[in-house]
Amino acid sequence: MKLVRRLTPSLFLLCLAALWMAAPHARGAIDFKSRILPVFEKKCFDCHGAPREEGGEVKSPRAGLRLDSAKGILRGGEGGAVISPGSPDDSVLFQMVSQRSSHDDFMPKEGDGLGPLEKLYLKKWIAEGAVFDGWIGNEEGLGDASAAPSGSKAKDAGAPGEGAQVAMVPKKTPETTPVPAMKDPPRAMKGTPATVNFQREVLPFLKRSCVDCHRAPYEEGGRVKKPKAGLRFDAARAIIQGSGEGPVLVPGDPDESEMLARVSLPEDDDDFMPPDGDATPLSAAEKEVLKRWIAEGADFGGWVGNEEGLIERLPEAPTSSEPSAAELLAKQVKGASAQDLAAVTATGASITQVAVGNPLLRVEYITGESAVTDADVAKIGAIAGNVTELDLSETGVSDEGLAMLSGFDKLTYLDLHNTAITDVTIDHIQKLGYLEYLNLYGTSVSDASLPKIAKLRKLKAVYLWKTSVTEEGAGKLRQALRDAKISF
Amino acid sequence: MKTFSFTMRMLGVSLVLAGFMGFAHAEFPGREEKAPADMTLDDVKKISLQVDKFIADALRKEGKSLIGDSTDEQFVRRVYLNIVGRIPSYDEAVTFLDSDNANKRAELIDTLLNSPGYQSDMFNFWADILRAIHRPGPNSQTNAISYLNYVKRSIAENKPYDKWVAEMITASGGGWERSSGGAVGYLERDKGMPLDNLANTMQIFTGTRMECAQCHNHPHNEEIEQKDFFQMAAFTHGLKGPKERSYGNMQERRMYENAPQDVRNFVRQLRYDIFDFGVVGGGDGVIPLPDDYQYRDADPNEIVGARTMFGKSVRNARAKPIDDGRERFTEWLTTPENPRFTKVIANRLWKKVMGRGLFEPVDQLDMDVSVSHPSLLVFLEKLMVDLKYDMNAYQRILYNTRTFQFQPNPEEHTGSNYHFAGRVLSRMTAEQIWDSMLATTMPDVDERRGSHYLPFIQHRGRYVMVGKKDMYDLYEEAMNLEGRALYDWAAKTLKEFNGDGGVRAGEAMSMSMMDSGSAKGPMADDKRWAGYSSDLLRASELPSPARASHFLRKFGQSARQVIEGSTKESDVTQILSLINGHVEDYIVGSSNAVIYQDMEKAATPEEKIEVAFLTVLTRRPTDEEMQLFKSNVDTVGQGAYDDLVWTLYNTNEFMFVQ
Amino acid sequence: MFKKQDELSRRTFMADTARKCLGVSVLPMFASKGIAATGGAANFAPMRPKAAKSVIFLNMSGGMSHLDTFDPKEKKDVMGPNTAIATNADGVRLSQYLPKLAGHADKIAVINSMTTRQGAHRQGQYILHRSYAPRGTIVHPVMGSWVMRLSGKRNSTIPGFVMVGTRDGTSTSGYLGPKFAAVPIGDPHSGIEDSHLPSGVSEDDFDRRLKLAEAMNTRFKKQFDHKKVQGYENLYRDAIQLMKAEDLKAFDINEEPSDVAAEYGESRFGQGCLLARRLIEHDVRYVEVTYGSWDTHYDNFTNVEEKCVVLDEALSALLADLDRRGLLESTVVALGTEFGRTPKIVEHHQMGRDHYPKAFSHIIAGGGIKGGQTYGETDSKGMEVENNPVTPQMFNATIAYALGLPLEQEIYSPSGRPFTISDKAKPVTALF
Repeated sequence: MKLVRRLTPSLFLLCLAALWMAAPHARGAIDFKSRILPVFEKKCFDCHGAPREEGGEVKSPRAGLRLDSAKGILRGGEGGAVISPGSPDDSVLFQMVSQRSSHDDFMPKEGDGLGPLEKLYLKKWIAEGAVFDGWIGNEEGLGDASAAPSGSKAKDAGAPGEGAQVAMVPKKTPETTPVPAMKDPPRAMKGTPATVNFQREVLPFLKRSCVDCHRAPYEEGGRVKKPKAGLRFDAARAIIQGSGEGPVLVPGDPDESEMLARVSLPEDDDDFMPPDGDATPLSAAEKEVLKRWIAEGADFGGWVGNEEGLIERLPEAPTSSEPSAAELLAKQVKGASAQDLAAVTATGASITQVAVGNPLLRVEYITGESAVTDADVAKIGAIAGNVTELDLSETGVSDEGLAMLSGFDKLTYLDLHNTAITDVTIDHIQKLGYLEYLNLYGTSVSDASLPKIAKLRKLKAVYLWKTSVTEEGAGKLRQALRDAKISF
Repeated sequence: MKTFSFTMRMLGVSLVLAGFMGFAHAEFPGREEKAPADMTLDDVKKISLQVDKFIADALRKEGKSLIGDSTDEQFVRRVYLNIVGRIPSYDEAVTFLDSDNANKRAELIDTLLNSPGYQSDMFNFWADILRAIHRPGPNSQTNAISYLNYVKRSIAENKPYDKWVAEMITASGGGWERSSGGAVGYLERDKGMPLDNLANTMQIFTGTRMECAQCHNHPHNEEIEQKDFFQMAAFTHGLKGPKERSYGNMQERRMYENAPQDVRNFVRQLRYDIFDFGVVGGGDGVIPLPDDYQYRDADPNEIVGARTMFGKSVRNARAKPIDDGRERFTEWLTTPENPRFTKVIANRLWKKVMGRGLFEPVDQLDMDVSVSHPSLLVFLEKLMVDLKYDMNAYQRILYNTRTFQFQPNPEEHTGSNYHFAGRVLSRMTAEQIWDSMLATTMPDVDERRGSHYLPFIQHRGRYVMVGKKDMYDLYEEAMNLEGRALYDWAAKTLKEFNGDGGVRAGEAMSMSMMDSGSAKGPMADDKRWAGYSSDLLRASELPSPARASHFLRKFGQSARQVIEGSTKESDVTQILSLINGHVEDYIVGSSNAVIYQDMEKAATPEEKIEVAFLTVLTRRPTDEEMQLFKSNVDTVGQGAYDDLVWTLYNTNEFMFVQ
Repeated sequence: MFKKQDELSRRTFMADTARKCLGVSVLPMFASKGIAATGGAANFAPMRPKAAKSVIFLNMSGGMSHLDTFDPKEKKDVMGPNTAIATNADGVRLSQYLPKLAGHADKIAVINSMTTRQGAHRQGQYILHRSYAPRGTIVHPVMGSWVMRLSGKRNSTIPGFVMVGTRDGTSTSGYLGPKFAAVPIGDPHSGIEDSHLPSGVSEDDFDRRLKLAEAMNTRFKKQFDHKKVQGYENLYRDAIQLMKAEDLKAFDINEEPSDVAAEYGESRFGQGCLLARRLIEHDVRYVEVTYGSWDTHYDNFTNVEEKCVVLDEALSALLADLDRRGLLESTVVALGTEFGRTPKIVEHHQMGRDHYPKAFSHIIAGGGIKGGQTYGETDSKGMEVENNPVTPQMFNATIAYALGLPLEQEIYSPSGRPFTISDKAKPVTALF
């Protein structure tokens, strides 16, 4: 076995982390409340919180382990202690979160694992003695303090009654809708305009201090040199992508951005960037600029950089220049409520968003279709204002049930093929001015409806195969809607 | 011997096995030596007890109580499934259950370990690991049969594991050369991909994952670098096919182009099946690094010498070509001093017997691997060495432990390390399901042979020259011919084939002249199996792997493309085949299935129900169950027996091994 | 039990189904948060908002001659007896062997600049389906399995990935495991194997047997209350549900009106295409139909012409049928092969053509692809790709892009190696 090894790229961070642990620290301790607690809250509390009632059953913490209080953390679970203050490598908690995710013992069991930076902080926190800094957490149901293992360094863990804080167990409010909450825009993006000009103020020192090692693969002396740690600073998208271990930049959040953390370390820290003597470190002023730039949302100001070797940027949807109807309509609505959505899905409907972050919905019946009735469809009315695509094809709806269609004023796509509807339904449809797609094949719609359909000027495609429409009627409709495809 | 006792003492383990140790040490001069296979049952039981002690100690330490012994019903089903790969037949089950011989468990274990069923099961086991397949190349017709038979023969002979591995890695010559006997098939499996072959070798036999290092330094495992990989690969670099040299020959090329279509096709087939199939060269001991080598410690295309990456250092330091690279590699690989070689096989077979490994995956021995019973692993490693890598004897000891014979564990085990307090419930493998169904369909199924492993010459979809000439003969005749002589011979031989006309697979069996290594024994047209479809052969007698849509593949038989690619995961198509397909087609809907014949012999409905239970579930029905099926007979009549048989196969109890 | 299943209150069942559907169809969007959260604002375009929902992949196995199908040339010595014809789209010319398709060229995009280095069938088919070169140490999943892995089923009662026609012995889902494997259909007329009660077993019989089995299982479950035992029981429920599923009729092409069925032609491939359309209509996500024997070393022209009769009829019918039903927008129809064939005609092989990986043709239609265009060109002999080369990986990336799948999402194999759906290749966005 070799004693000294070069670091392989993807081990880079972990190894650095280990070295960092070993090195003396000029910087202060990791702050539990701001660095560690949020991670536990996000990734651990669900299973390792206080016993709680759910669906009539009491859910006990998994493996008897509670991470929602200092006492619980120090006491450990059924298998014994989970942290060994001062020694991350002996701490089961750290071992489990840093396993390969395919490993049986990997934690958390559900959801994403800890990010590299989170692991790094956790490791460092344990190495520094696992100090809770006054935090107590939720001691409910934990019994008396003497249960904590003696001899731990966490002298501040006990002290019950010292203004016990209530653990911040994230409560899932029933109001949460399945429509994804847009991540809050970075703080600075909300109001104040950006002041840092990336190309003029940031790029120069990135080029000077970082890009030499962190850039697109290139050849030197017949060998391909790959970017260190898989991280590149020579293209905007590359910076956002981060290293093989995860992102290094979190726009709007300098504290979470590893690229700032690394350059801000003391120079003798093994984790410090750029590493010894390789390049000029950032000056205090530069660090301040970098911090501000990140805080302001990391606006690259149009700079792209060298995209070679990156996956091609995916272009916008084909309707490039003018915004699509969906985009325009999206501005007019709010997300549907969870109760309403649940009521609709209970009828067997499938609901999807038309795009990420867009409150407009597509509603369709994917299975069991022939048994879907007017009564089921009526329930969709509750979210009428959000529905822009509606697929009721091959269901049991009738003209009667579809009278409510006139309320679906955001509708752009309507599929009613192979249903029992007649010309009556077209009366309700003719008010839907945004309609682009109308599929009526296999219905008994006749020529009588065509003048009404012709009024829908936004239509791009109308399907009339196997209906009562005549060749002549279809021809007239083609005349009326010259830009639309009339399938007959 | 000294080393052994010393190590054991250091571990605080006392091996009170004077008799056993007597035969276990070949290097101890002047002492009479017994082969592991000749161990008396007493010897075996003493060692089994030692093994149990490790498990019991660990359980005590964890404050877990010992679990009781399995019932005879549980035991007989489990031991049949484990050793011969199928459930016991009605007769076998009843014979065992009704016997009052106090030693009947040990005796049954010995019987099974020496039965053809054991060989069948071990073949499935190894074929999955070795990715042994009938057609390694897209165009080959017959060329891996000799290798498959070599694997079967090695199991039948109970070839010591270390010798067997060494044989495969050092094998030379043509695949159909009688003397080399197909062993070259192992290297041939990855024809044209020697680096992949090396990565597979390291994984299978040393639990070292190197496939990533083929292209770059190992991202997860800092021990392994790309250079290490190439230095290992240098040992076996430079192997060639036995007749590759004639390919570039212009004259031959012209002859090929000018030959009639049928001769051309025949010569092309010879290339695939004979000239290409085999290995020559001893291993160069040197290898160039790849074009895109990107690390600082060497240049791209730089020639590096062979060097082992762990264990005793063996190296070709001066990077001058040698001709015995493979031997040096093999010696390093298979020596007991290799820190991984013995561990891997000891644990692999432990898992085969006990259901869970001491570490898993069994072929991933990373530095940070978590071993559930470290001192037991050391003990088993020594045991394997002392048994001279006799896999049968090793398993015999494990089967005789109480640990194997524990009750099933009613708890579900999750997490990595297992404490072995009770056997882990597991779904049967694809082969176990298929073979178990066969055992209830026809008599003596372990002895039935098909034609898939016979070295016949295939010509236009038929077997030709059966009884007169086989692939080995073809090899001898064709191998030394060049140019004109080859084409003349090819034309003549083709005429012979056409004149012969050939036979279909079934007929070929009865005319077979027998491969030296396999297919001894009764033929497919044996009267015992008259009336049963010729497709109803044990998994080990069907093509390896079975065709993609076959029952076996549906239930998770490996496609044998990757090491241990088999799976026990279930899906809906499997259930459909149990509900509506196979069970109905071959058992419920077939009156000659043995289960029906046995039920026929029974006089009363109660007895019939009992026969069915014993056949499918290896136990008698409870009162409640008897009542349930009895009342079904009362209401439905004769059809109730179809219900009964169908139902028993479609219970969870059938599918899960306890 | 069977009856109970049936009654099991259709409501509960539907709600259950819906939950499953929601789980799979909403989640993939959330799953992309890695992209959305880090840089959505400035640097990553969102996934296509109107993504296609399903794919029909037509696999021309054996190596389809590009010259005699989608990339016909002028030169006699290249074309032999074959010639080019005009189509209903200005941008597309086809071989005379595809006269019907010429009437639907406005729906397809022809890619004449396909190129690969895999000149052997197995390797070529492997990379065509899996975007990675074959290795002895791993089996990569095929596109259908990737799509299932990244976006899940739409219709939860029937399989989401179906392969019609032959397949090689290699696992379709590779390291992703059987959950994402294709359900194979041999004969398009016979549907899913064993999905109907055997003749002679009535529903009553079946019902009775299920009750007996349930009684037996209750005892076993008491003894072993394990997840895997429970999972096994759930599979029985799923299987019975499938047997009863309304949508199982998707697999029964005998339900098609005879005039529609006739349009596709009587060939197995034609009927396979018909089945594919039925499946897509019932929200199956990915259907592959194989059409083999394109390996025309000997007598290329007779063979290709014969093969094209079937292809021409089936593909034209498929495109027209999807179009008039309004399904073409949401369905990607892709046609691919492992490589092309030599422009040089081997005369002493009765005018044969050999393998030619350097240049060949694929087509792609529907799912937002602009029809009536040709992308990429070969030289006047069909020898070299002159511009816009497209690799099989890029082709797969284009399909994935049409589906709105995250091209950069890494999935780890059990040994911890990261892979992406099309080996990080770029999609050909110019086609949309």
